[in-house]
Amino acid sequence: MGVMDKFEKGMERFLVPIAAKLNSQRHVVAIRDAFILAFPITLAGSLVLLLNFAILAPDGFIAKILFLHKLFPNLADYQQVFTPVLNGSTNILSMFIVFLIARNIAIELKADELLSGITGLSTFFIIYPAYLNVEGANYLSTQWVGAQGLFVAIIVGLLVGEFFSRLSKSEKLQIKMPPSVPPAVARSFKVLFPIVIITLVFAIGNAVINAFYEEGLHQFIYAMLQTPLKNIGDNVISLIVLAVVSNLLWIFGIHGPNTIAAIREAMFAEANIENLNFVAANGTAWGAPYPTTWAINDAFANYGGSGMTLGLIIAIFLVSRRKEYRDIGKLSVAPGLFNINEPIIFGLPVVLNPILIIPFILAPAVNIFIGWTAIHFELIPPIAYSVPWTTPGPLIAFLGTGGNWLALILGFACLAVTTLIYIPFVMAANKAMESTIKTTNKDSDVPM
Amino acid sequence: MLNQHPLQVSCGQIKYLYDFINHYRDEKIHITVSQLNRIDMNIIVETELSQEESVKYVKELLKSSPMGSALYFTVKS
Repeated sequence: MGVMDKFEKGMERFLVPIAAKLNSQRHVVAIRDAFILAFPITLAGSLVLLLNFAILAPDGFIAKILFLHKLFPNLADYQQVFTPVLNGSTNILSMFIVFLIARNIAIELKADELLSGITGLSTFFIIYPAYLNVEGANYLSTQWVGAQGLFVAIIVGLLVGEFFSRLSKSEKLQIKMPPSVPPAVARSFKVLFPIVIITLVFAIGNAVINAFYEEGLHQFIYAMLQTPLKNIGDNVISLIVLAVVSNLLWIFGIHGPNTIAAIREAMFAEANIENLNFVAANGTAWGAPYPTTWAINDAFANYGGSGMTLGLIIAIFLVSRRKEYRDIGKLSVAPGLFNINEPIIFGLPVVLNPILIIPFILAPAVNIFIGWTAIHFELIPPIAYSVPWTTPGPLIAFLGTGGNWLALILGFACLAVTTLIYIPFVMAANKAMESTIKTTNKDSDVPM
Repeated sequence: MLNQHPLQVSCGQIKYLYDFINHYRDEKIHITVSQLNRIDMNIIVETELSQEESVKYVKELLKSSPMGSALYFTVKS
């Protein structure tokens, strides 16, 4: 048995079951899916903001290209029209997340998902810091409804989802209405007691915690859990480790990005939102508070999809003598431009390929380091804008930095580096294939 | 007369999917693996569904398998 076979067997025995567990564990899945479902809202906010600064700011890159600032001297006045979009997206992300997690858990446990989600949201505000009374009017701080409240939202969502789903199944706690009562009323009364119990428990728990920790539950969880985890993510080693694990899983047929999604979101969600808020306030990505986020991976190390396979396609066109490689390369170009690499992953194949496994893991790690170095030494600004993952290659770096041309050039440089990394391995894979074919032909020449 | 659709399933952990899907039968489909390779397998789906519907059905079926949520796989006609 070869080294690769042993490695493969080991992965099958240990990694696949762990990845399967992670991917099917209901709390992990509930968190992952909540962020996935909230993603279009936050992305929409980010894109509107990007357009706001790219088109309506006099120094925006689209405004400069089209001379909009000269054609419309008062262009910047219209920026305020779109600035409030963040108030309805990332600035209230915790509210979406608490609702969605409680709902997802209820779906998994086959309980009333809508009322579970609403109860989660209700509970989130029961434990929320008290209103501030200023000159007779009540004000609610927005500090914890956005990025900083994410961990409380996750914890409350999970707890409420579990309690609600379990309590609502208890026959003793159900109020059963006669059949003549409208279904919506019967549905509400069925879960009335579970909601009352959850409300009471959280109100009492909150009061107890407030008695011991004056700054409140949100501040407590933020300091004890969210900040340490965010700090773990705030370095290049964490990024590279996450990318290596994700790509390694991919090679062995496991959905890497899905498997690490819950951990990744917990580590980077707040940093991404804070960066976006910084851009909204300052109109530039320069100086964004969290330069090291997972966005670096998308901006410099994911062209063509996991393993930066756009570089592999180019390497095939440059050095591969095998017609089948070139044919698969041709088929893979169009989806690869939009970071979809299914044809090449299974066509070449890359999956379980002992030669291509090395550049598939190495190239993204190298590019993350290149991107991070450029940001760290302030050659380019941090990737502060969210950009759809299907955006073609280096454009993610360009748009993510708010239109920085050097970031675009660096993106192409990363693609060139990736191609150089893949070239010797494509040549080796070609030779391996040729020798396999020769061996097969020799075997078939043996007289029967 | 039921339709017979030949489909191809590709996955790095094809054995997990093979164990789950070979001779699978429910009220809508019956699946037989005709060829098992290192990273893919050819299957024959006997069903009243169209080919496109069969691809979707098999995808959902594999997703619901014990390892399905973790695995990266494709189903093609």
